[in-house]
Amino acid sequence: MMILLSILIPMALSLAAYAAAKRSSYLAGYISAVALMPLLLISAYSVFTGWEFAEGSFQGFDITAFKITPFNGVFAFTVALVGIFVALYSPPYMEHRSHELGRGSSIFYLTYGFFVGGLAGAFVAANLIMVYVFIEIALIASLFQILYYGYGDRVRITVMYLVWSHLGALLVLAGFLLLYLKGVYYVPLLADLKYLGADQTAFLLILIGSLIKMAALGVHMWLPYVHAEAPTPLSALLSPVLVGIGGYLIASVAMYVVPNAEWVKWLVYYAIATAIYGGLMAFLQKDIKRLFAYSTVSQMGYLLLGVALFNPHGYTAAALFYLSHGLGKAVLFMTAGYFIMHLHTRDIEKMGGLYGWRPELAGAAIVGFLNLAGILTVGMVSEIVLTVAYAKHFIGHYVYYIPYAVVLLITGIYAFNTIRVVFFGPHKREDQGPVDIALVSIVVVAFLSVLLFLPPFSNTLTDNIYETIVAAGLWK
Amino acid sequence: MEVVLLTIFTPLLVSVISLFARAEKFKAWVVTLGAFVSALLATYVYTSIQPGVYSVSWIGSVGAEIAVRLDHFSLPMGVLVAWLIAAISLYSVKYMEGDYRPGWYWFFFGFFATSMLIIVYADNLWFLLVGWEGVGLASWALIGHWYRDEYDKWVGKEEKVFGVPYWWTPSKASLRAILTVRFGDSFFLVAIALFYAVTGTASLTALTHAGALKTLGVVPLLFFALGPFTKSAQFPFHEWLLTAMTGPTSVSALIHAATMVKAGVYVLIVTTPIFLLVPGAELYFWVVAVVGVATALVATIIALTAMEFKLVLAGSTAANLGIIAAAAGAAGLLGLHEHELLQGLLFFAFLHIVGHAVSKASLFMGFGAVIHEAGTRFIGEVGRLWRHMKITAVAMVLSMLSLVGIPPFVGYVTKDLALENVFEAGHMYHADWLAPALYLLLFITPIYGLRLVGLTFVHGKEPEEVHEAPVLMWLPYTALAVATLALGVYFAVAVKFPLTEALIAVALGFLTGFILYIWLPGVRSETLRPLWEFAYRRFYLPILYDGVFPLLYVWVSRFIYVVFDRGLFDGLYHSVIPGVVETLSNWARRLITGNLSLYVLYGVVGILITLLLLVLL
Amino acid sequence: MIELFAYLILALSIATVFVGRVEGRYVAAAASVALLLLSAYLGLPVGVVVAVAALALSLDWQMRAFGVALAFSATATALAAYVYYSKSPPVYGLIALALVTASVYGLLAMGRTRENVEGAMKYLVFSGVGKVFIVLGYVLAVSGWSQGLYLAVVGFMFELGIVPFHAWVVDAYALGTPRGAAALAAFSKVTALFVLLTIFRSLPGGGAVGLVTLIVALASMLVANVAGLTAKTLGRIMAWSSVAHMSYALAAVAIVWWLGEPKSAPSLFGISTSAADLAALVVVLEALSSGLAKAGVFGYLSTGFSDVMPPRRSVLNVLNVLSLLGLPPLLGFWPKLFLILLALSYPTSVGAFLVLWIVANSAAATPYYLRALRMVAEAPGPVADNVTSSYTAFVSTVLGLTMPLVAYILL
Repeated sequence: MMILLSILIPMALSLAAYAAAKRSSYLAGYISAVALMPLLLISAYSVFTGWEFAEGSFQGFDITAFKITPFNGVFAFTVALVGIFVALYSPPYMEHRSHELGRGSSIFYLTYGFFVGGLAGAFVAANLIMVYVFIEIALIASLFQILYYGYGDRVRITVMYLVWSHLGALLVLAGFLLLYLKGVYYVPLLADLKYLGADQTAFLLILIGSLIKMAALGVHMWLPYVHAEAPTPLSALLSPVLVGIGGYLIASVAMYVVPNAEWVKWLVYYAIATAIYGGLMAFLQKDIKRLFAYSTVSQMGYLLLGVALFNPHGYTAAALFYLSHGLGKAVLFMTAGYFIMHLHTRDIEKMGGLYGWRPELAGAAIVGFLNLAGILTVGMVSEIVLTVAYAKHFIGHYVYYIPYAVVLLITGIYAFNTIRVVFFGPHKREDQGPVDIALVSIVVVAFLSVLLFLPPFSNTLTDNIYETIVAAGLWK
Repeated sequence: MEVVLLTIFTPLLVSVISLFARAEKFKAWVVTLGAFVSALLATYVYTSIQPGVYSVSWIGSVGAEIAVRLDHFSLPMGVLVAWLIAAISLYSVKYMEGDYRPGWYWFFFGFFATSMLIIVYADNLWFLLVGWEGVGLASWALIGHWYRDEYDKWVGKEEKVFGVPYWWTPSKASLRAILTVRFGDSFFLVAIALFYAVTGTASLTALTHAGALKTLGVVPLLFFALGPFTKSAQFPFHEWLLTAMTGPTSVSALIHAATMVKAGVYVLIVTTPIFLLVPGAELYFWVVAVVGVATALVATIIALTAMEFKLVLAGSTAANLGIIAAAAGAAGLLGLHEHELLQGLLFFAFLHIVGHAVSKASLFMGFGAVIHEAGTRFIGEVGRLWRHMKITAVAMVLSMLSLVGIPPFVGYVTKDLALENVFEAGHMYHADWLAPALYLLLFITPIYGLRLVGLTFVHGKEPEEVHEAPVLMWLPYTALAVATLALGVYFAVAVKFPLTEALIAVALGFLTGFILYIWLPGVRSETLRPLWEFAYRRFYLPILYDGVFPLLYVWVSRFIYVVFDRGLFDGLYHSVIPGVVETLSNWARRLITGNLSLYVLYGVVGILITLLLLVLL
Repeated sequence: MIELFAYLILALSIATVFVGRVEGRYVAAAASVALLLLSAYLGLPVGVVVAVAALALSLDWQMRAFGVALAFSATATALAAYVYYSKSPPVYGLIALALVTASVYGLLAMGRTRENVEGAMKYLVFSGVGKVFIVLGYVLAVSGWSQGLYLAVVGFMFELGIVPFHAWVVDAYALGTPRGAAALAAFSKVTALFVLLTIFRSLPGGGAVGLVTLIVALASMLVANVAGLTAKTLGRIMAWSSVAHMSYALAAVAIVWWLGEPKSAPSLFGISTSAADLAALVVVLEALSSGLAKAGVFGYLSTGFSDVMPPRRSVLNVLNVLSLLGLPPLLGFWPKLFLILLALSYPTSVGAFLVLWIVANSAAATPYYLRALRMVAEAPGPVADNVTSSYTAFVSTVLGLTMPLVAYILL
């Protein structure tokens, strides 16, 4: 019951947060953050000690089957960690936004717990149908946040988000049901199943559904709109943690029915194309939230690449990318929110020289970018592991290393260029950015992403995931 | 092990402490203190710790360990780096006084020191990569230290050449630097991963005996070399180093002259024994050697024509890096045939790191003081400074003589030893073009040195009021200037005093330089002007890096954005499909008119359709 | 036990005499309680659910003489369900269908405005035509004419409002009284679906008819969902939604008619079952989820007809709309899930096509449900949740959450 409870507590306490939000957004934010502590503790314990929690019988069709291994634990850990800090970050932002809209922030806090709990549930639930159920819970909860607190033409954006996400989720569900008819009721990776044999239809259904969720190249169009117009605390959660579900599903389900090596090969190419494409598009954006959104597309390319390489290192890298991108992008979106709150703009051309405006913010945002670029943060660990996976996959085919290096370079280009445009250059403002809990949250998340790079965190983290994956033995 | 780790990580520790302090003085002194502690510890390690490999495990699944390797390269390099850091830290206390971003500067200073020391001592390639990325980041941060992009921090004047801006603000220069380095690092990373994937180890020591390396070709080595090439500013990646002069001079002295850029060639040197195992290594060593020579020539010519103090020094740095790289490559080439000689030859290449670092650090600090006191960064705007800054002038002359390779200064000894490798390799492989190139190089080098000294200290426009630099500033560079002489003598005695025909080229160059810039200044030639322009514009390479590449990048991205992102994907999903569906929807909805007889008609049509289907199927 | 229903109907008929004197809602409430007890006694969970829905409606609204109609329609629905589960003769189902049509006609027209009467009229006409076809087809089929099934199917298409026989649905929902529309959704359609199931069980499937039915059902759900996208009022959105839901239900039956039992039996929550049972489950759940949710949505409208914007807000109906959208773990999710499961039990190509079609439809439908959701949640007036909306939302949620359990009971 422990895992289930840790997911239900955020949902249950969101009602309390809803009530509290009528009095004070801060109180609601704290409640939302505290509600995620059990999940954080349990997933962190699994990730850093290698312990596996399992509950439910895994016999027959058991909807109460849950499991946390270091592999899916990293995903849950990221959700909880980012969720906590976004909750702490949100009160000043939501007060600002409610003031603009003339609408209380209570709906936000009501849906917040469901959103985060649903996300975490999708990662730790072992029953395939339950995975889908949790995805939809998260979808609907976030839907209301966009509908009520979004920017621009938010109804249109909401519809876009709903249609795309629902389509993706239903395709995944259809794929799950095909497996279900074969007697596979649980996420194969969590139920210690081995390769299930080729099933082209199921693979394609889950793959396409997941790719839509991940906003991979070609089906990515919803993401820049949604992430740009969503209320920023939500973007900080949507972008890193929601879209990554696709990668998790491909890794833990679809790859167990992948038809043959040819598919894997094309998936690798596709992942690289996504990463390059996202990076190029991010470079061009002037709206900082759209920029980050495209950067997410690029990062999802990395994550997909890790999965597509189809070896233990690749899987480990995918999980680590989820973590590093989660932390990094959370920092960046929260930074964007800080700009929205205090600069009232999202246009990077109106920024510049902001280092002097709030140096701590600049430092944190730089760390955020370093996470994306894989430099000296937990992002570097994921990048190293991914590169090893890549090398193990291609070994002597040297020509394939060039596009990979290009991917890394392109990420570096938009990351450092954006830092320059936003934070460096002549001062345009005389005042100072205020110090509030939002700023503190940003800095702490940035700090954590550096901390996780250091031993003993980085090694226990990586090695535990790696051992889980090797033990899962998808590769014979 | 603990002592080495302490040596490495003390600067980082103090720099993190400095982040939490508000007072600028405290930041400066705490980091300086840390640097000195680290330097003393490095000396202790050098004298008292048994060479060997020490390690603790890190990320087992990728073979990453926190491993240090104490040998005849890392031990002296560690001492050199740590003491240079300490000296320059001391210098910065005064130099950076009253700066608007002390927190940033001192944090990255300490951070840099640790990263650099990691590279020096690391035995594990992943651990090395951590330092490698660290120095790249610190370099980026410190080049762009003056992020407000004030005019006096620029490189170049506000002018355009073929429509491409020919000036570099600190923020732009730092972007150039990090992106160039990032390009190399991407391949570097890939190469390390490949080594690990093939051999199952990332330890330099273990790789030396890894038979599995034989399955690799030359390509991974070239990937690997791109890392050092970009970091050490080898042609054609030398551009970033020149514009890196937007950083504070102390940074230029430390990072872009004495230490970080040396990391590249240092890694080239320590990996040479490993790469000897790989089939096709000869090509790799040739590439390294040729790139080194090309860099040396190109950069020397740039140094000769540059109009800014620091640019001359930067060019000269690149040139010396080229020499070291060439020496390393040549050592490899020779080592392929005479394996037992390899370590000795590599040590010659390594020595020049020391020789150059000492001279160049001193020069940068000295000219930093000049810029600081005179308030200009252009050659010719200030002159006859020996009257005002006597100590500095003497120190600079000493260091410059060392740099351009006049015996018995250290620069002469080490450079000549390094070049001997190259001469030898050219001889052995019958590459007859090598020797003339090297002679040309040796000939030009003293000219730019004397030009800089002559135009700054001896001749030129005398300023109104310029004072000698404060003692905290001149002490480090004067000490280093004296060290150039002392070390020169020491190396000559302890290692070898080379005496070759190369000295003739140097002497000729010195004479020419002396005539042109000290004895009879002001000789100009209009016929040489286009040539000068070509070199002054740095062979128009910035047009490629600042004009063509960014434009191509933007155009390609924009093309994809407009055609695919906006056009195909957005248009299809969010305009065409919804539009079509909406039309259909309205059409389907408008069938419901409320007219009962129409409804009956639909029913009849429906029945007919189902009947038709029934018949057809 | 069917005579118990007969007694209840008889009692209600006698009660009609007194309707002039007593407010009809009391009659309806009393009858609902009786029906509730009866259903509980008979072990008929669907009857219980329906009876409480009728009770909720009668508690919420003045019914005047039409309280009896409400009671009749609920009873008829329970009867139809009972006929199906107790395997009684189908003719009782047909009687229930006739009974429910008459009473719902009354409820739709109870406002006596021109719109109400017009909507009710259309319902009566088309539903009547449908019933004629059903009866005719059934009689023909049992007497050995193979075309009988076809006729019966066409009858159900009229009755359920499958495109292109759907035009009346839109008018009936939009123009009838909201109470009538609620009854239409919760009783009439549910009754019709149970009768469909009864006939589905008693008549052997004809492959070709099944295929034609499937094609029409698939086309129908597409047209309904596309048309719904631009529908402007709550009533019309619900009408299109109803057409779509009925199409899903019909498609489930049609698949089994067409292809028979698949080679490997599908399993439900780990227990193997037959395709026919699964299809029946889809139909029952589709009927309940669509009927209850719509009853909740219409049941809170205080307007004379529902072709207008709702004047007051409702929070609980958000759950109902989400259930219609098919969102887990609400009730509306499960029939879709089982339908996809059913489709996937068949050979890959057919299954995959059906699944993609259904998925595309569900995804396409989301925008109009979102609009409906905003209409009820963002209406200007204060919150107007009542017993009906509370009850339906509660049932949609609880049944959805406990579906594995429910599936065992209903199978």
